[in-house]
Amino acid sequence: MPRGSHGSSSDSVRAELQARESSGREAGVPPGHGECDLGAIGLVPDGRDGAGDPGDHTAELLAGRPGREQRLDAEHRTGLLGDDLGRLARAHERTREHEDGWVGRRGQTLTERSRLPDPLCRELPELVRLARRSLRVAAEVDQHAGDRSRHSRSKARVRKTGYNVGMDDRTVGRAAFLGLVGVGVAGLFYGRDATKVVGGVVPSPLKEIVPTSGWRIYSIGRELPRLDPSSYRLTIAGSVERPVTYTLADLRALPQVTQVSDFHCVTGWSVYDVTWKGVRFRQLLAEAGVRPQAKALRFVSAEVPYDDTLSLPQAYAADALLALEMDGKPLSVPHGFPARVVMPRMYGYKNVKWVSRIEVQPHLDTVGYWEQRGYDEDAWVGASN
Amino acid sequence: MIRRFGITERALHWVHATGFFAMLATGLVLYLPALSEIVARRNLVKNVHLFSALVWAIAIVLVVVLGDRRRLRDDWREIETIDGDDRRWLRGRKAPQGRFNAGQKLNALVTSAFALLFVVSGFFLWLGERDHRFLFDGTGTVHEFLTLGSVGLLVGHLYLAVIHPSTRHALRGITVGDVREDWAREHHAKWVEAERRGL
Repeated sequence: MPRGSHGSSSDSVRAELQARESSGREAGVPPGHGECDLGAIGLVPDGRDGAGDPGDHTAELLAGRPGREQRLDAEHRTGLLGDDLGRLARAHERTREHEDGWVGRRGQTLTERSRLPDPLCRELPELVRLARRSLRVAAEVDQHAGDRSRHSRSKARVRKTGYNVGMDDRTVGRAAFLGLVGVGVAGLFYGRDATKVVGGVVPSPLKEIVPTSGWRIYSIGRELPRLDPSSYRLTIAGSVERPVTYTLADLRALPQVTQVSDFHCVTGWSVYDVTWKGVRFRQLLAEAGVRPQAKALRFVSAEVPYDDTLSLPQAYAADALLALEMDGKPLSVPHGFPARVVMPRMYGYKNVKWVSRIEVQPHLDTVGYWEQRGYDEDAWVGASN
Repeated sequence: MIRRFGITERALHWVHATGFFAMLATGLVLYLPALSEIVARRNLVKNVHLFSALVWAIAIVLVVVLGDRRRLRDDWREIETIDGDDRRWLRGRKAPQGRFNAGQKLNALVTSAFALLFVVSGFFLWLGERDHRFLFDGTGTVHEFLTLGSVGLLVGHLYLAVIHPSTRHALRGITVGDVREDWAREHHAKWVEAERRGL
C-alpha cells in the first residue's frame, strides 16, 4: 500500500487502483461481487493489515497518506475543487457510519467486512468515480504546480491568508534564513582575512578606497598628522643622562636593522610578513644614556593626545624597534611617517605612530591612550584583553 | 486604496532603516582607510557606531514588544513561505504573488539574517577587544561581508522602491500605509484576492 512518500502519492494511488482492479478481474472475481467488493478494487486493505477502522484505511488509500493529514487535505480540496469532492466527502462519511455500525453488529474478519450491504453497493461505483476524479485532479495539480497539493495541509493557514501556505513551503524560507545565519556564525570561527577576496570582488576604481592591503588605518585625531620631514624632531628625555633631539637624517644615520614580522590588531585583523626597517631601542637610547632607575618608555605621538608605553625590557625585546621604513619604502603618512613603534608580539595600539617624543620614565604608572579606555597595559597578542 | 502596512510594520521598517544608515555611515568611516583618514577621530566615530547599534537594537525590540505582534508573526509566516508560485516567479516566469512577492521575501529573509549576524559579529568584535578569548579569526571578516552584502541589497531595494517606475508605488505602502488597488492587483494578485474574500 503506497504510504510514506508524499510527493507522488496521487499518481501511485491511481496506479495501485488500476493494478488492483485489473488483477481482481484476472483473478475471476464474480461479476456480482465485483461491484461490491472494496478489496478487489483496492479501496480497503486486505486482511494482512490487521486491526483498524476500514473507513480510515479507505481514506488513507484515497490520498495515500496518514489519515489526519488526508482529512485536512480533503477538507481543503473540498473547498478548492468544488462540489464533486464535497459529494465524495459526504458519501465517504456515510460509508464510515454505515460500516462502523455494520462491523459492530457482525464483528467479522476484514475481508468479509469489505463486502458491503446493498444500499452502499449502489453508491459504490459513484464513490469510485469521484475518487478517481479527485485523484486525477490532484495529479494534474501536482504536474503543474509541483507540490501545490501539499500546500494545503494547514487548514488554519489557508483560512487565514487565503492562498496556499503549507509547512513544506515554509521550510524553504526558514531553511534559507537559518542556513544563512549558520554560515555567518561558522564564519566567525573559520573566516580568514577577507581583504584579498574583497580586493578580487571590488571593481578597480573602488580598489583605492577599500582595505585591500589588509591594513586598516585607525586614528584618533581630527586628521592624520602630516609631519614635515625637514622640520621633524624626535626628542628623547626623562631619566636619561643627556636629553637628545634627532632629526630624521640623524635617525637614518643610526645602525639600521631589517625584520619581517606580523602585525595584529586588537580588533581582530592581522597583516602578515611586514618588512620593517629601523632602529632598535637599545641603539636609539645609547647616546642619551638610560639612567639605572629607568623602568619604562612613554611614546608620545604627534597625534595628540595619543601615547603609549613599553616597559624597558619590552622595548629591548629582540623584535621591537622604531621603524622608519615599511615594505622597502619610507613609512607613509597613514602608517606613521616618519617614525613608529613596532612591537610585533603586542597588539597594534602599542605600536605608536608619528612618534615625536620618547620619555624615559622611572615608574610604570603611565597609562596609555587606549588603556585608559579599557585595553590592557601588557598587550601581548593572544594573552591580553 | 487598499491597506498594505500597519503602523507596527512601518515603524519596524523605518527604525531598521534609520539604524542601518547610522551604522553604515559610521561603519564606513571606521572601515575605509580613505574615510578614516579624512574623518579620523576614531574613538568618537566608534562610540557613535556602538551607540547607534544599541539604540537600534532596543528600538527594534520595543517595536516588536509594544507593536502588533500577531501581524508581525503573520508577516514572518508569509515571508518564510516560498511556495510554487514564488519559485516560478524567481525563475522569471509569471506567477501571482501574495502580499509579499518572492523577491521581497528573499530580501526580508536575507536582511533579517544579516541583522542577526550583524548583532552577533558586532557583539564579538566589541567583546573580543576586551577579552582576547573572544577575538575570533573571522569576526571582522563576517562583519565586513555583511556590510558589503547589505549595501548590495540596499542598492537594489532603493532602486525598486524609488526609481523603477512599475514598483516605486510600493513606497507609498511603507510610508503612508496604503496602495492603489489596481496596482496591488497587478503586483500582489493573491493578496488582493484574499482581502476581497475577507479572509
